[in-house]
Amino acid sequence: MSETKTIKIAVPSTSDQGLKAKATTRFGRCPIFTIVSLNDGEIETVSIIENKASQAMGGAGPLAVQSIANEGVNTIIGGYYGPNAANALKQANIQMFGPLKKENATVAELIDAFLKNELEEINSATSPGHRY
Amino acid sequence: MNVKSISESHNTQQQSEETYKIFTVTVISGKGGVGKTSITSSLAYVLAQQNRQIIVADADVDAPNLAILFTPENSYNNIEHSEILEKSRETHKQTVQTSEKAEFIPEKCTHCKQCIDQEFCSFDALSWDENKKIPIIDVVACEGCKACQLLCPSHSFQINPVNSGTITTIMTDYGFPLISGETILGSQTSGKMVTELRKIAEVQAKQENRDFLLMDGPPGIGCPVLAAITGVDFIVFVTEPTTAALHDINRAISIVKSFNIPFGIIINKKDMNLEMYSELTAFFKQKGYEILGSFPINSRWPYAIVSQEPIAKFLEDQEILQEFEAIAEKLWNKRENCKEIIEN
Amino acid sequence: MTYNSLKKESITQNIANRSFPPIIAVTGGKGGTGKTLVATNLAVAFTQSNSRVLLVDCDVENPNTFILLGKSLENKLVSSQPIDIFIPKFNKEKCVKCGICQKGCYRHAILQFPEHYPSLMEHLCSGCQVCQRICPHDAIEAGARQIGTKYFIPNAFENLDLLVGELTPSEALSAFIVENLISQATTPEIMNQYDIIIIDSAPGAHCDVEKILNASDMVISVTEPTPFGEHDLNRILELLRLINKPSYFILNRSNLTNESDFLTKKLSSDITKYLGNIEVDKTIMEDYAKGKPFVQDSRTFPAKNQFLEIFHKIQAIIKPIHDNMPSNLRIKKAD
Repeated sequence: MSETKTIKIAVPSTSDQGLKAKATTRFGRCPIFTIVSLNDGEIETVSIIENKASQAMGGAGPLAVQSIANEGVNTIIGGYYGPNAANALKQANIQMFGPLKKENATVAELIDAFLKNELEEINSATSPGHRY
Repeated sequence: MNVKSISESHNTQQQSEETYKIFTVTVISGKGGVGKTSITSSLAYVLAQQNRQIIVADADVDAPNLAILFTPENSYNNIEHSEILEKSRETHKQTVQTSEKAEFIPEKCTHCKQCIDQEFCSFDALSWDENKKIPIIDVVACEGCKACQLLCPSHSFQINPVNSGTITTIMTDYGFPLISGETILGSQTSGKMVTELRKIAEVQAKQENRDFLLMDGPPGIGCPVLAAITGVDFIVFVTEPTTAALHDINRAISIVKSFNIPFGIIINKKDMNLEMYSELTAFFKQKGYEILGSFPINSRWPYAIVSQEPIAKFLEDQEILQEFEAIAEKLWNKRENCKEIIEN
Repeated sequence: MTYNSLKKESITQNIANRSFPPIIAVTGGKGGTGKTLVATNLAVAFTQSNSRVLLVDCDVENPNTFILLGKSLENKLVSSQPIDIFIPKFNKEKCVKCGICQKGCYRHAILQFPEHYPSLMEHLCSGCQVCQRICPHDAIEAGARQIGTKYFIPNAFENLDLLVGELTPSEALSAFIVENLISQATTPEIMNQYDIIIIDSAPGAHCDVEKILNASDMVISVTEPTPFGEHDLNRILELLRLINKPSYFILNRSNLTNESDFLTKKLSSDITKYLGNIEVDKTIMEDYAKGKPFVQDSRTFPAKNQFLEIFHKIQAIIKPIHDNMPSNLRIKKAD
């Protein structure tokens, strides 16, 4: 990651309470993405988007990737990524990190762990997902 | 996926997918009628007798038969699937919506016939009613691709979710729950039904602290089979010594290998053709495939199905029971090994 | 046959415009009840009474007809053809990265990230062509992806040609292959060459089976005397009731249990009639293992007689369809 680039992180979340929201490891079907922009290691803005893919009949992974990519996200901190999602995230050049080994972690805690380099980068699917 | 349920809690589903790991074994065969369901029922019975905390699912959603063998009372005179489940101690029934279909809105139609003339539908689901001058939708053929909705100049089509089947949970007399799915006739979405069935089984497993899911898979190698083996921990193949069964199992094995899932093989009706049986075992051994066990033809086996009991219980045959116990033990040990790997 | 040519030869059209030859579907619901055994022996029995027969194997996940006829698909005389579905090919010269194709894809198989050309996740694509139709810049061309193969075995037996469809392992769109096979089998050029067409169906009561039943003039279900056989046959019968098509059933391995008589009575209804039973038989098993149709076995055994009795009933049932055919013109001309 270059120092000058703004890091825009999406965190799959269970509610719309911003940094206080509970994070979830489910990617494609999480209800909300909390989007956090970092500049020079400081939180600049926090916004939320509803994940339309959570109600999709199929192809939730790619659809979720599409919507966060449209927001300019370049980093995601989740837990489990299915093969479709992982494939799409790679194509979108979104770096995957994941999960904080703590139950009921909040978005703020995840961002904190990310800034302290405590999260592992993930390069391929970590959950079997639903291929069809 | 849109699940309308009577008593489902979204929270539990979420948690289960996040933190709960259940060891899943799917029984498949490629070819149908080789004894898949009979063998699954007996493995479930034997594991339950050994006090293993298991949960069982019937993923053969186009021809679900496992519940027949676990019906508490003899209801052979009424073999309708839903009725069997009603007679048993049904604990939970839900309708599942895993697909969408087009609906025609007659008031908006300008009878331009573009939908037919320009072949909007790639699935041949649209035809023309010459009397009323409106399109007819073949709901079975409709894929829900939205072509008609997107292309119709007068917006006369809309896409709605439709029911694709039911998923029912019963508590068997043997102390484990059985989750059974059944698709609506002519359905194209059995793969998604299987995925939904597995989610429900996993939620229940977590609630009841059960960490071994045994699944009776569908025949074939198509969409529902792919959904029944995606991400499972172990596959049990059931086959018999015939050329057709060997051809079919080889096709199924090629998929399982591409998914990188460990597997073992049970050879049923081995004395059907002893020459072929030894060829088969030699072939599997040479390939390095694990043979979990084998069973001879037993003329009373079909009567177990008539009596609606797991074969291992009905036959009261020590040899057959021991063979099932040995296979069940092997499967249980695979779970133990898997656990160790995760914990370390 | 390409995707586009298949579209033009719509199945329903073919069926509506023809009067001959009769199409018999062999189905049953449960797997392993003897569908393929009945279909192959029925085909051979018809050739023995001098009919030209086309046997179509529509159990595309696990086609077994050729095995039961002792044939191989890897033979010089067998012609094979890939079965492809449409996939979009993005023309970068015309594409303006507007993202309309991505939004229109119901399978979410198309990705289009800001400032990027669209890309396809191939295995999610169902070939619906919506993207191509809605692209305002005409930037999507037709590509193809193979999902299966069909094999034609001429003269598998004297007077018997065999058409086999096979789904490529790990592919999911079996219905598409079934449609392709039925579509080919019901073209006038093909139908003209045969006196009878027999279709072997997959187990289950899903849309692959429904397509086959819809295309047939006569439906024969093969089942066995167990609750499994009964339950799965009932699903087929319900489906037949939905599409309003009467049928017949055969009880195979009838002495497997002592439920046969009871079941025969119980299953017979306005939607299905009983054709007869076939007992468990050692000779059938031997011939099955050798890849030889048992109707060709010179020995006499009860199961063979039972089968021939069924065959003669079937002949009598299709005779009226046969006789309605104008002798000089096998296919009714389309308007």
